[in-house]
Amino acid sequence: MAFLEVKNLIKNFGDTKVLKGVDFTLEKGEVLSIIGSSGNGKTTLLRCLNNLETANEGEIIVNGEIVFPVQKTKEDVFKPLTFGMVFQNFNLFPQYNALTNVTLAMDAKAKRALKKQGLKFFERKAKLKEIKLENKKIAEGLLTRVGLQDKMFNYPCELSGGQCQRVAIARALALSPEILCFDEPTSALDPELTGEVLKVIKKLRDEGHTMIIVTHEIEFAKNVSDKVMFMADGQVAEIGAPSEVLVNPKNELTKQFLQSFLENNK
Amino acid sequence: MEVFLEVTSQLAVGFTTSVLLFALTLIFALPLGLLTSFCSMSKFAPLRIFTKVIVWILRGTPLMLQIFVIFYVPGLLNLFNWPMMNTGWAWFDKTISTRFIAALVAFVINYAAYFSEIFRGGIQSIPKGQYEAGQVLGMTKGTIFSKVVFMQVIKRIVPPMSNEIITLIKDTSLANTISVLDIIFYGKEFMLTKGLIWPIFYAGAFYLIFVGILTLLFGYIEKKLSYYKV
Repeated sequence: MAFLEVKNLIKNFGDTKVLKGVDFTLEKGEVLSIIGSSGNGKTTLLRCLNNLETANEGEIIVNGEIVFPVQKTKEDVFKPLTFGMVFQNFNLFPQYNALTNVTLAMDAKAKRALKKQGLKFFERKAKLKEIKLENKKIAEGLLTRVGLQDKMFNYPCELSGGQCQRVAIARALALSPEILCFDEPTSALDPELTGEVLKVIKKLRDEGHTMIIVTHEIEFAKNVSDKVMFMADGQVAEIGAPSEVLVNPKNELTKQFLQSFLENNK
Repeated sequence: MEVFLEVTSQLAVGFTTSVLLFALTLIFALPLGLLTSFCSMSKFAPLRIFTKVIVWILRGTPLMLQIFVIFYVPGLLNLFNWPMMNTGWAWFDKTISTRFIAALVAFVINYAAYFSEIFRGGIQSIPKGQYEAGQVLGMTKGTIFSKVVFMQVIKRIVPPMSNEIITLIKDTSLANTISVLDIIFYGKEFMLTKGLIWPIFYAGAFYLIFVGILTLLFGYIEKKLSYYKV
């Protein structure tokens, strides 16, 4: 059984059918790039995986466990997140510096976990302080990994787009999600800043993270992915190794897309 | 000179009452306004519509009228009579009196309505992406609001809030219509009993200085919050 299985995912916005039955699988440690023209459901698919949109039909199975549709159970605060998400326009918290952006969710989670343990108020406070210190070290490590060891105390407004996106990646990694999703991570960046972000994503692949990347960087998709998926009209038009899909596409729509892409980049 | 000192001390006593009314109104109306703003954004339509109607009434009628309603209507309905009520706390009943409480109730309700709209505007101006970022990080709704959204709301609402708060200190003078012994009440007293007109203008200086301090304070808060952009 594959690590991630998406079965017949359907999503409608009113009368508009955005996802018309998406199926694919992904193994642990694999990188999947999703390409396709705008408005074909790539972002919606990621949002459905991350539970930002509720799909109308279908199943999402991770590691043999159905994560969608969810049964309303009590939140397991000790479990790592299934999906993580890096947004196109970062969505960093502007009032916190880079370090706090990364620690915030970890600290909140620790607080909830401690509450469930039923410790006394002062014990809890002391314990939380300890955990917060550990979280800070983890966050420092993450920011170093994305190359921002000198910018830990800077606020998002003081960082460049590329640096913001790297903070966002560190923040998404903080809760060690099993599958990390990127929604066009370089689309909001100036061309000269995309390199630094793509470098970080490459590094994550080498470290063995399972990732799903929606991207318009075809060259990058070719280099970094184990699988490439071409989406058209809310469906998977073609999926396979990059050497097949991007070099010898079988689907007519994929051919057209790649053709126009090549023309635009001449 | 003697008269000046006497007027100053009397007006100062009155202004203490004004400032007390101002401070207590803020303490109660700010949280009530936030709560009201949540109600006015509720997904439960009856609550939302009810809240909007109440806010419409409170913003749509004069505050002075609302003070009269709060002060006289319980008596007319034979429920209770504000001036007849005692807190049992002699100093309070003698100097501040339960009239003050009636005025306070009216101010809190009225200002909560205005504040709720300011909060609503602030909350709705926060981009959806901020909520989503918190959600994909596994934060609860409460954490997202308190740790992510609220600080940004505060920054955005400082200018309209400062406007409203500056209006509040001047609006407290409406309380003397039900004989709360505020600074304007004492100013008028000098006019009526001693034929002195200048104390009432002198009272204006108290407001002016207080608003000056408030303006500096809000400028300071805005500067303090300028380290980030939303």
